[in-house]
Amino acid sequence: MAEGNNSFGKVFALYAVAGGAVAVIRLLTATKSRRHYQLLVSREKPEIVEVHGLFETLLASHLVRILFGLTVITILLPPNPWRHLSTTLLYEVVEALSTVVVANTFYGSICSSETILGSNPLGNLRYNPANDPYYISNLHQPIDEFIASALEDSQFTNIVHIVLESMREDSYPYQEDGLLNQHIVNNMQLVPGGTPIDAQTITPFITSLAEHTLSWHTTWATIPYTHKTMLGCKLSLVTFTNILDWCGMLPVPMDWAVEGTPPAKFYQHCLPQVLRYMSSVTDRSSEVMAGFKNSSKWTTADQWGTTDQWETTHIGSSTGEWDMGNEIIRATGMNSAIFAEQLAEMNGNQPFPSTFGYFDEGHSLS
Amino acid sequence: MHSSDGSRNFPRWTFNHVMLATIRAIHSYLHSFDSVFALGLFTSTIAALVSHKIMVILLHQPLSASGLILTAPCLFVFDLITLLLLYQGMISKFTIFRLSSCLVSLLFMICSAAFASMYVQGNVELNWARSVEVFHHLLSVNL
Repeated sequence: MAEGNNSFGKVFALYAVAGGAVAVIRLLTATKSRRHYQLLVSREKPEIVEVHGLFETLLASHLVRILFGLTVITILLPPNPWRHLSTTLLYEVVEALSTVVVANTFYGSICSSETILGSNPLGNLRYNPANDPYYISNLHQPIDEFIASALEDSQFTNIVHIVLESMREDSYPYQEDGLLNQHIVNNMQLVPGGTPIDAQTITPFITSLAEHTLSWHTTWATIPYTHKTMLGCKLSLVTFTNILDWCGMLPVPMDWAVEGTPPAKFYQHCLPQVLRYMSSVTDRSSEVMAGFKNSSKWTTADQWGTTDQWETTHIGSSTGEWDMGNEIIRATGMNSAIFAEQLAEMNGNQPFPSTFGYFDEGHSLS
Repeated sequence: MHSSDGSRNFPRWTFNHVMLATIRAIHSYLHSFDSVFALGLFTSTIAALVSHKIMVILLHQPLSASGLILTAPCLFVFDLITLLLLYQGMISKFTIFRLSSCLVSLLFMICSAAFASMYVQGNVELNWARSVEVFHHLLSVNL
């Protein structure tokens, strides 16, 4: 109900007004009608009324026969889009409720099991692919040549991975020779003397970043769930190589977060877990000893001089509560996961524009 | 087309017939319930269901005009069945059926209004499964 902000109340009031108007008309015409019916009753001859059951009455009705015929035709319609369009509100709500109840019944209790994330504070580092029926290895594949050449002789201090979903390729960063720009220029009346439409005015920040980063214009997801898609996206629509994002492994093309529920064991090690592992095996003894020997290096907190530990954070505007979104991302090994619920704490708990979380120009974040 | 007095007559009978039939149908509908409240609630439910279906169709655009015209009766058939069942419940002599029908009608109005608000605000179809699961934050805000 809160999804459409104030629109819910307005629409509901409109429905109520429609019903109220008809009721008022009925009341206004009631007196006249009563007289009319009284006259009719007095003139009509008494009839012998046969008492039928409800089922017989319904079958005898022409309307029911027509509806039955239409129902048969509807079932024979092509599923998309026509049969899908014929679903009524009742069916949609009941289907959603039953799906969630079934999912919670079968997965909810299992998800709380300790074996998913493991008792290891580093997460499921003890993952054994031999016991995972969902496991499909890609570890035998060599590192992509393009990535290998791009990363050659590079030293990382920070990694920022930016994903924008459900957008046209030519809109982010904005491409002046793209189809979107052509459509705007050809079909929309631009204000004379207005702000020019180019990459510097539409997406200046990401344009400046894109020039110095590895970027992929289009990636393909196998399922329209953001949290599952973050496990892996494809660079090619045809092949199954070059899979990006946290785990480099395509999510199971099934509804709900089945990756985190037995018998699945969450695929394989994901990037945050690799970074965690790198931190855990880094021997900083010599660095610490160097600090002891030269205590002047430790005078301030930012001068420790030891190798930084990888701190991983996933930040998304979608809700983490839905379908184990938070658990899925945390299971990749992220130290922290920030979702719409946490973002809400920063904006005075403004309501989400939708159940998907914060989206649509981010006006609710301000 | 000419009457006995020579004046020209227009074929107004068709228009009058349609008008009379429409008035009779409206009159019949207005007096199809004993309770005025049930009549109002039923009318609101019709508005809610029809609005919902129109919004769903609009969200699935573009659709072929010919396909839309041909399948239009089928697209509304389940809504009609729902309304028929609600009507039977509302005119039932059993209080439990009448009460249940009224509650279901109210539920339809709420769901349709939620769907419509989502359509107005975001131009997207409401994901009911997600609505059921994500509720903590929605309940914590001031509606």
